[in-house]
Amino acid sequence: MKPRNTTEEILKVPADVLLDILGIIVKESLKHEITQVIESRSIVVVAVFFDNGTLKQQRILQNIQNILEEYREYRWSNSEDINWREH
Amino acid sequence: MEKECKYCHETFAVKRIDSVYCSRSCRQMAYMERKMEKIRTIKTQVIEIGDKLHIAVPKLEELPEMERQATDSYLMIEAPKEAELLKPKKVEENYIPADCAFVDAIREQTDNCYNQGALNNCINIKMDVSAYWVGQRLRCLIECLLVLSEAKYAKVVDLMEICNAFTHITRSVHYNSLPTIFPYTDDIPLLRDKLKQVCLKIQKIDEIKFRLDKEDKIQLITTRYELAQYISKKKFSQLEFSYK
Repeated sequence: MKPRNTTEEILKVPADVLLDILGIIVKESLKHEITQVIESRSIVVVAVFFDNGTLKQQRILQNIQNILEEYREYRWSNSEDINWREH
Repeated sequence: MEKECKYCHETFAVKRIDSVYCSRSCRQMAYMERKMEKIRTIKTQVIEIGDKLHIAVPKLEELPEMERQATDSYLMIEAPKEAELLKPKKVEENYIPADCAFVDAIREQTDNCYNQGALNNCINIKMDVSAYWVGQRLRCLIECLLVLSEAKYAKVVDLMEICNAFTHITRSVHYNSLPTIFPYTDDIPLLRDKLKQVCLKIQKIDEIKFRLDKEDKIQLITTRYELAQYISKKKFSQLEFSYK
């Protein structure tokens, strides 16, 4: 359940960077919930709750999003098909 | 001994070594100037009292007794709504962005421009057909391996098919006429051999959890990324691997 005065961010975290992302979430004591595990793609869906209007938490979110974006750029860059024959 | 007066900047003969001003009047004027500076630096503030904002204006006549509590020295005026913008923001705790070891390792490898320079030379400058042919197939097979390594299970026949594709590449005319600067010539038989070992171990099983170790995965993602800068993507089903 979403705590009051918070914004929920749904993060699709690939297994390769899962420990690093969870490390940030736990270290900064952010409320979070693992909502789904997509086994076919080694992705864990994490809902993280950020306090509204807290600059530090915005920076943490930005940090996490930057890591995920950079990973996606290296790993995928326009090839999202999971049928291996279609790669 | 002569010195320059700190207030009027005239040169004067010093009586004491620690003299700063040439006369009592200069000392007094300097003191007055410092006092005025102090008054000028006391700024109007926006303060929250209860649920209302107030503008606190310094009471100039009380300034000589600045030792009093700061609030005693200010005249409080209820502020209009626009003052919200002037309200001092809460001091935020600093946050140092965390690193991600996996992404850092890929970035470090892609920052080494040798491979990309060599690929650019082979494909864009020399327009080498063999380099493009092999590069396109290598990119495709790496994408396949990465997808299978992230799937829950991989069919053994699929892995064998990819292993055969690597073998076909190494036997092709294009592979054997690759330019010497092509950066992945040695990687292709290495990948084939590693995959072959996996396939030989699991011949009697239909499906396995096919996983790459961290170093191999970083290497494959880096190679895929480098190839993707110069070679367009083609699907496995669209590519012919056996070229004699």
